[in-house]
Amino acid sequence: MYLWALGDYKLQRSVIDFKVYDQKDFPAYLPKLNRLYDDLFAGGKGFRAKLIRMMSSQLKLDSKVELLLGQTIEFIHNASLLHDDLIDRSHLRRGKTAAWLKYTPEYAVLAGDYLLARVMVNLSSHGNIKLVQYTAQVISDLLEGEWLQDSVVGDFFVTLEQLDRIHNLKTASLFKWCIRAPFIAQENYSEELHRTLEEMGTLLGQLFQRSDDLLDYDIRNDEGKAILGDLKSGYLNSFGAFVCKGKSRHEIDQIVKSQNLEEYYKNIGGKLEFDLRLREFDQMNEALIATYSHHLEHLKSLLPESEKGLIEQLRPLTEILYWRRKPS
Amino acid sequence: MSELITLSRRSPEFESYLRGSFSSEKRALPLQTLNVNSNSETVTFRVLTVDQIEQPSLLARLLVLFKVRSFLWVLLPMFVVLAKNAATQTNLDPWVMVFATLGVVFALLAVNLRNEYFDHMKGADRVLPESGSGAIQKGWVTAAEVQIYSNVWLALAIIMALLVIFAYPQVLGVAAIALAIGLWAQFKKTGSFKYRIGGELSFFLLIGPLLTSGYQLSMGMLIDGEVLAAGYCWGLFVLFLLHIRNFLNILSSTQVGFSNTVNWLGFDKSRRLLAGWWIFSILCFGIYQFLFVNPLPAFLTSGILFLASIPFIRNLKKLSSPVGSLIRQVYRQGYFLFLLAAGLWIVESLWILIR
Repeated sequence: MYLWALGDYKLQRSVIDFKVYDQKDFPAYLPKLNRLYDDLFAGGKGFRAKLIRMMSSQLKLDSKVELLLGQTIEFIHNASLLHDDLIDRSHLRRGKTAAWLKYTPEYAVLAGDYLLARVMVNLSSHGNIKLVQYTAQVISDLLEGEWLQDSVVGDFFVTLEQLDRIHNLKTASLFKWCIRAPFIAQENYSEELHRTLEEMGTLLGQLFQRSDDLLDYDIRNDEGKAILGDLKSGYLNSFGAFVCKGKSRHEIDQIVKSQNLEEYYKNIGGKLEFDLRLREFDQMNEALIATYSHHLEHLKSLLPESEKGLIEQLRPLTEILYWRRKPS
Repeated sequence: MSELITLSRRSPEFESYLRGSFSSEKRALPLQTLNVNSNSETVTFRVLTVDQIEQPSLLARLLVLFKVRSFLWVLLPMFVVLAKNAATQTNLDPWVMVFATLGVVFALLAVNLRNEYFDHMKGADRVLPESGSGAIQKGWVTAAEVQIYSNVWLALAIIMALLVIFAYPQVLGVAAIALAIGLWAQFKKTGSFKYRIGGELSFFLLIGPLLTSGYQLSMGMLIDGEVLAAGYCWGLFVLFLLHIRNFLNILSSTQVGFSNTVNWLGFDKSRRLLAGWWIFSILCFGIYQFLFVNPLPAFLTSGILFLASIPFIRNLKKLSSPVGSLIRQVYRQGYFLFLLAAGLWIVESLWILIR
């Protein structure tokens, strides 16, 4: 529900009809590949592409460039999902059978690789070498993050700081791309502007990831994500690591064995303790939101009058991404 | 109420905020850092008034800031040299010995604080939280104050060194080499020793052979093989500790481009380096004891250290990721081995004294 909040947003162009995937983009002589992509893209919310559209409309980018950027981010994101599901052995993606199960792991890997290759073909045809270089860097960061994340599966003693490093590579890199790439496409390479956007993207990625991790504990879980899904699949997410901080090895062993939320509350010392830890976690993230607002004000001073409208579009993102509610 | 301010390295105010000299009533605590170790570094500070900062007692702050735990690095080799000379009934000048001991401790304090200062100015303490004491980060003290303290301790160390040189001029040679290394580090100004390959070698020399030789000379004795070997072994142990700490931080420090041996070798080769370095250190320590102390403690301590190393080597072999709990466990095990070696060496020196 929260993702549609971005769609309700006052945009000059509609984001709902923003189509980043078209069968015509892929070779007709590979029907299986097309079927796989049909399945993959059908259920996606396209949140990142919507963010691109929001940025592009404020920066008055050409609609072709806007489509290129939207496609790029969605292709990268979906390629990572194809690979992710195989690595995690997830059976479901967007409520449907995961591609590696339906089409074999080999096809899932090839389909993910093909999307990344298309990204490079499309971007290099556009001709902005800085955009190509930056996108390649983001893909590289994303893969590093995936690799590192896989290495901590089954490790219930990982720290929040270590997870933040992984999330900065894996999740935040795409958010940074979403808000920096439109400026690069506009050929605005101001170092100060990009530094500020980089900081903001890092914060958005971190907040999104932490909020997503809270869903596992049924916090603001309007999407109905499976409860304790991460924990049961051997992954101690950011909130899990925050709760386990300072606990003994024995206590952590008990906590991670929890099969449902009631057991989890009991193992960490009761529901009151859980609520207290949640409040502390939210407070910690409110400090990140305050830092984001601070950068936003700085960004305002860097933008020309014609682009200042972007500030009001970017302001509620923390509300949407962390608190998962419509901006007031 | 606190306020936030973001400054880039090119900003004229950047250094004053980092040093804490921008205001006498306020402190700027780094909150978020981008592009550390580059000219385009940007830091977002949380600016607080001094009374808003939570501070423990003065003693607790000083213990943290001065890194009292690191005193072992210099006290142990000095104790070993002292025990050796006391056991051979050498006539020692107690005053010169006190001056030499204080001089070394003051020099260590100066170096620790200098590292703290440069790590903060270069951003190492922002990407590697374990690298410093955290006193500047928490606002207990400003970087500018730390620099002053470092200079005060350095001045005191020089005074002590001059007193020792006055009594035993032969110490001058060792002091001159140590000074040359110190000046090299000062002029480089690229962070602390531990983030440079050349710095690691300097660190080995300063904490190891130069320290034991200088201390021996300050007792009016000549440098001998035993003292050099003791310094060499101790240098290996301390450098092992440094490598294992760098290994713990391999991900972040590689990302920001620090150049130390561990980063240069990479993850897999560094694992082998750590295992090899430790085994080699134990072997050298065993040979030193066999040649200069007694075969019995040589076999006993080497045996204990070899046995205690098994879980460390086993986990090192199992380790496959620079993040996660296993790398922290390996670090703790390595640190324990270092303390065990130090403890055994102290016991052995006491045994030499009372035998």
